[in-house]
Amino acid sequence: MLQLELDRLSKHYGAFRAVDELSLAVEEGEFVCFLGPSGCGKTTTLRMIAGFIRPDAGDIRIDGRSVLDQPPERRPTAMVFQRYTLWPHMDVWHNVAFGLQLRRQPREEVDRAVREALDLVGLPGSEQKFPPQLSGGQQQRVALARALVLQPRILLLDEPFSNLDAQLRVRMREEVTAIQRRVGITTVFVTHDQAEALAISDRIAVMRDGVIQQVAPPAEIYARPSSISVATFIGHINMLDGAMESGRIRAGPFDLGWAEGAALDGAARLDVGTRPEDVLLGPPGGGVAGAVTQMMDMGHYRQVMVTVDGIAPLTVFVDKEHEVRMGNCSVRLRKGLVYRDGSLAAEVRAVAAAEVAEGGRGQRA
Amino acid sequence: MTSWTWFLRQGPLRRSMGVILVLALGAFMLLPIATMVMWAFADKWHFPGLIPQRFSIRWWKWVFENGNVGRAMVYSFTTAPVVTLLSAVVCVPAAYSFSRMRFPLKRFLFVSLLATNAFPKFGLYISIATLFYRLGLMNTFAGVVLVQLINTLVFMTWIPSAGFDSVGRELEEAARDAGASRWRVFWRVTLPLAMPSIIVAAILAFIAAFDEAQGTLVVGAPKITTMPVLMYTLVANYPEPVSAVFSILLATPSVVLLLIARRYLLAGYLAAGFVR
Repeated sequence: MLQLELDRLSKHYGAFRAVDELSLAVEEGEFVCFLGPSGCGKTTTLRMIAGFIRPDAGDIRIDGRSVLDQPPERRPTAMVFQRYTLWPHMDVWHNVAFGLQLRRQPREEVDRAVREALDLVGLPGSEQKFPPQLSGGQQQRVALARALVLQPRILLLDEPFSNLDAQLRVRMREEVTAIQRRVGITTVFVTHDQAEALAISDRIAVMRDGVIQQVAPPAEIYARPSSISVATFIGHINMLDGAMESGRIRAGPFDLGWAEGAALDGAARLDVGTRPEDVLLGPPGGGVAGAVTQMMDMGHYRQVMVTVDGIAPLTVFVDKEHEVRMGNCSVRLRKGLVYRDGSLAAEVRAVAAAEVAEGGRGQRA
Repeated sequence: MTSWTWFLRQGPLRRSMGVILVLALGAFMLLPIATMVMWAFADKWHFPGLIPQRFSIRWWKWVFENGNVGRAMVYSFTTAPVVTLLSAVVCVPAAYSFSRMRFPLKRFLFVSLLATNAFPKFGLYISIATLFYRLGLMNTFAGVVLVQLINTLVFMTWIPSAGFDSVGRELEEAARDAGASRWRVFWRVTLPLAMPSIIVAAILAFIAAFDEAQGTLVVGAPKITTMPVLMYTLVANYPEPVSAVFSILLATPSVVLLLIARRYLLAGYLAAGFVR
């Protein structure tokens, strides 16, 4: 069932279009992530949903009803902010109980709800503590408990982990996802961290300049970015100049084969993108000649820079079990994303599956 | 090159310079107070003696048994709290507006609070007196309260305004989000968090009102005489120990309140940096 609908939502500041005719429908229980660089309008959108910013045009519907005329305190949303979120003059109990007390619920009920919420976020027994006595991660957990205790229809998270250190951030996002799945609450999450977005969301809405460029599940966004700007924003990608020659796609010196069913006639300017893991290296003489110029150990994989005549250096990811040596090698592309005028037109697979299995990813010693 | 201050750069002297300066400053501040305390308990203190020849507490008795002193204390301890309260009622909402709202001439009005401090005070009081005559406020409690209020306006607005500034917007928005109306957010979140700054400002206002002498003299005398105003009379007409005793009485509330203010000032700093 549709729970949240953003209908051609716009917010302009003078000539600057912070959010421009943005539409999105979120299903009940879904975890949707707004991902984009700072200034892309993602936080503005979230704050419009929460009611802190009034849109210039468009509509926001929750459970089918417009909430535009409701102030933030009346909307069935609860938000976890980026920082400074707990009230320092109240202990944890009063922080979490605040909203329930405003609703004049009986004391025993409030007490039980607060205890359950703190159990849920893994901080049982911290009722008497004051925010300055808690670590940053614990403070954000309490903030999450404070949001969940209100039993909102929609949970809004505004980069809630960006002030935490890297390890804690990863742990927190795992925990939040687990809690979200358990409670089954519709969640809208804002982040500029693509790893975070890819890890936790059901769907990602990639934003730029106030518009959504693509909405899709994380795997889809990564495998088939709908435009060059999404492709370059999410993960690493090598972009090559492409061309259509007698029905076959060429990307620089590489022949990518037939583009099936793709309407590429006219053969205008094409760009071909290929992910670093789709570049295959072999012993010299196999494919296009190249040279390994740099190797970086990234832990569970290696990042390799390969130069090929006539194109920019390629970034290649190689599994740890494959040997790669500095110097001459052969280069093939396994997969390419063909963009015409900046948007995805076709996806081509250059190497047959059998060949991949036999050739492997990298040189045999 | 010859240096005439070479010895300042030598180790021992250079190291002791700091101590010497601190001691000098301490002596500069503490010696007058020590003298005052000794005068308050002196019965006989003639020239070459560094300390009084004879001590007694008879001047304390004299001061406490004097009817004028008692009346002045009553006036002082009624005007100052009323001024403080009135100042808070007038200035704290103004401070909130300066901190949170946008309106024309905001900067100008904020700075113009200093205007009363830009003129020689006494001239200001005289012109106020002519106005008060016409309004029938001379020699009245209300008149004295109003004239004392003038000196409290600047910091009773500026300090809480800075206090409101330091309350993060997110904290207010989080409260709105949890279901609190603007009004409730102010009472439950904004005001409590700005409280240390308001308490400090109120203490400073109390001290300013309590110590105010010139305006009170012009507007209140002879009917309404507060302690600082009475001080003029005592200094002029009685032996030194009387004014010394009275000075201690006058200074004690200020010192106690400043110590309290210091505590809240620290609490304010802590509140500002609450997230580690």
